[in-house]
Amino acid sequence: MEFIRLIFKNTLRNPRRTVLTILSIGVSLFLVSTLQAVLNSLYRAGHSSSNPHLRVVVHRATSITQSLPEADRGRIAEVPGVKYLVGITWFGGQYKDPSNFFANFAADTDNFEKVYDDFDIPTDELAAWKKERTAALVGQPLMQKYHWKIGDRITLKSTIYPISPEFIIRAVYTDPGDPSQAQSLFFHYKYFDELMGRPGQVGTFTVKVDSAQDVPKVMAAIDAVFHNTDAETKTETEQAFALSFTQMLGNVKLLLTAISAAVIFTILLVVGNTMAMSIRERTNEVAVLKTLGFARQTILFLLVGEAIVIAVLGGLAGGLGAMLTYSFVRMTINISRAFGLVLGVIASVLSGYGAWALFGGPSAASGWLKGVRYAATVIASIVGLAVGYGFYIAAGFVINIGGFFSDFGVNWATLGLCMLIAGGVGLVSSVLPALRASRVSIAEALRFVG
Amino acid sequence: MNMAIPLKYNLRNLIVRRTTTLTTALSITLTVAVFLVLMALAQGLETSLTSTGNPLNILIMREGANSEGVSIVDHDSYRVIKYLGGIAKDPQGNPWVSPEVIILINMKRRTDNTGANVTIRGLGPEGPSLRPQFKLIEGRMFRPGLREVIVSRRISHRFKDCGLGDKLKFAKGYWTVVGVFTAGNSAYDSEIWSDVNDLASDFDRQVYSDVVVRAKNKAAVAQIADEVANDRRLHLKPETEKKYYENQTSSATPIKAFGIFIAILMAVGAAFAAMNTMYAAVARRTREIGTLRALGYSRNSVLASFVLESIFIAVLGGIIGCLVAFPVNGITTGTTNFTTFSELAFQFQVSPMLMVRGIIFAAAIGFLGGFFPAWRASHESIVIALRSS
Repeated sequence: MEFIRLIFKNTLRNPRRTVLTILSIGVSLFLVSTLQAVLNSLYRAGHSSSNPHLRVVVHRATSITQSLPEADRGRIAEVPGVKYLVGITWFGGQYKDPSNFFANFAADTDNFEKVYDDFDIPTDELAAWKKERTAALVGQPLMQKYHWKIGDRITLKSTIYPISPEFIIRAVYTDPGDPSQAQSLFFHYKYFDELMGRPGQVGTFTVKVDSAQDVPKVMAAIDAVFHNTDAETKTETEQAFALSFTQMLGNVKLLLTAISAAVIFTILLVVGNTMAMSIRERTNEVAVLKTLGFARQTILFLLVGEAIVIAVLGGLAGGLGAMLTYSFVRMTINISRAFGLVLGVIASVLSGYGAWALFGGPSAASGWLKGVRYAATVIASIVGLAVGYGFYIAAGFVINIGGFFSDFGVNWATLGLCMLIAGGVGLVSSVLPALRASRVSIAEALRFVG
Repeated sequence: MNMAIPLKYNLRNLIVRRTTTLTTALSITLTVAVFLVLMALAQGLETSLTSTGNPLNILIMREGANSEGVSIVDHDSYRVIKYLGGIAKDPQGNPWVSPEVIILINMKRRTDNTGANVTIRGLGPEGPSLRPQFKLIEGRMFRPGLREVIVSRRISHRFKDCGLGDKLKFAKGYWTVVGVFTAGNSAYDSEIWSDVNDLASDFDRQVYSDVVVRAKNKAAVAQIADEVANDRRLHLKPETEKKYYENQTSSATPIKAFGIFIAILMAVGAAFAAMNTMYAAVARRTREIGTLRALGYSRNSVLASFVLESIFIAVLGGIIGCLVAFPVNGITTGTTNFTTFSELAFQFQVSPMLMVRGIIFAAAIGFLGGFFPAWRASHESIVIALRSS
């Protein structure tokens, strides 16, 4: 265990270099965790291969932008294995301003709570929503975001249909299984159909299936009913349907993975460079250790261990930093933006201290250089405050975009991945210079002038 | 003024420490390369949208519709529009107007079998001639009444069942691909074209999506726009084709913002690494710095010399970064344009201007990484520096 202490002592040999290396790795792994969090949010649906709610979505085979005739409802209901179904039509409504984007749908109210049985809706509110033609059912996080109350009247202007109906909020739902996902507004299909002049068109049907074994059979059976008709259907599980939207973005996964790879390779270079410099400077020391009788393996262990310690500290700073930052933003952004000042102050202190340290040294003790040091510290603190607050606002904006990123954050698996990457980088980058140092002959090394 | 320390001094030093120089430069290389690739993506997307519109073409859509796909124009309105004053005549003497139907169909990408919505545009007989970029490169034009389509080259390369002679299944049956076209890197390069009436009847559409008209001249553009906007019967919204597509360039904004975010974080990481390298360089050369100062070089000369050395490493990295990123130039990719909810295929565009920006970006990293070590070097006291080992 003494060696572990020695490793930590060695990292403090040149504190500035160690801190700079840790910061470099920290920033890079902050980025890698962010990219991973983006992928996790985008491909969220693809992660659960099971279909816990036993729901399938029926849409027009040609494209989801074309609707299905209302009459399909009855024909789907007759398919064996179908328990309940509701028509769900994407309305594309904007609340006041185009930037207020959230999902809103015209939905059948009959059986709604049976199809979406994972939603928690108070019984009296559910009844009130069903009774009133212009009533709306809204997700709890959405209520909070727009500071709505039950009984509020809101108008949505559709970007797809030439109507701008007014609704009264009568019910609020939560999704206990996935609280951040309750980001939609549902209103009566009948109201929508009437405003449109009764064209009798439905976007999709969400179908609740009897049992898990029945799901594939039911999907095939529904599509078979409409095969070779004017409006052929395509039935997918709810997860596959959600994933199809992410896939429209193109190959985001490849792009983000490639960027992550480039970032990781950069860290490899950075740590490798740091360790090569640090080991080179220490050639004499290594010779002394050898003279004292330290085995070659021990020296190798000490040097590689040092690289791993530095890299893992960097990984922890970046990964844990990202985890805490995004959790904090997610939890506070819809309460008040003033919470951004917390990030601002932290960034301000860090950058102020950084400037103070960087302009330090023996020469900064007096005269105008002292002035420069103070000025730089103040400027860096102000810049840090702005950057920290700006980052908070930007991250909050992304988290609020239509609910796509409402669960945005670094999970434990990603943090673990970061630590693994960091450890691996420490190992790989230091093995070569450490091997070389451990093999050098004592006489040669003692003579070495750095 | 101060005499500058010869650049040769820095260059020779870099060569002596070539491994460190190279690893530091390479970390900047990767930063610049990632920055360039993401910006090339955003720029390619923007170019395909900004190069689409003809300033004399006017799109007439439903009020409140922000894309052609959700617009509705009925046949009566079309007849009114067709005879508005100010509309140019085509070479045959007909009003230069095309009623169009826009339909999105889900198609499978060739590469990974994932789906995307592709725009199918039904055009009137004057439709193709309204788009001067349009060029048929293979096969022939579609003929009305025969369920024929022509496909842009990019869609043909990227999606299944879109080769010349292939049969595409949508609406009430199969459609034959009889031609392949290009449209000068515009948004039309991501479309499939057919006859407006064929499409409308197959999709049971009793209305058009929008009407495209060609104005006689600039003055006529405003005149037509006024007439459409003020006609109480129409409830339609005129917009020049150029403006319509330019408004969609906001699709590139997230890519740009994301690219800048990534580039800044990578740059900060690389700057810390460069700082390490330069601090080590300064530490190793403390005595040299003392000698230089004793020879009469000023503090500012030393400062400038070390900052320049750092910038030099970074620019070297930046240039290699440009070389690494350049091969993506011209590669076709695609994403969903969320204004139209349909696939937009475009090419990565690594322009010379972008490469210059990449090198300036690298130089900035070099400056950031070099300034503090150089500051330290320049304020070392001569006596202490000369005495150091």
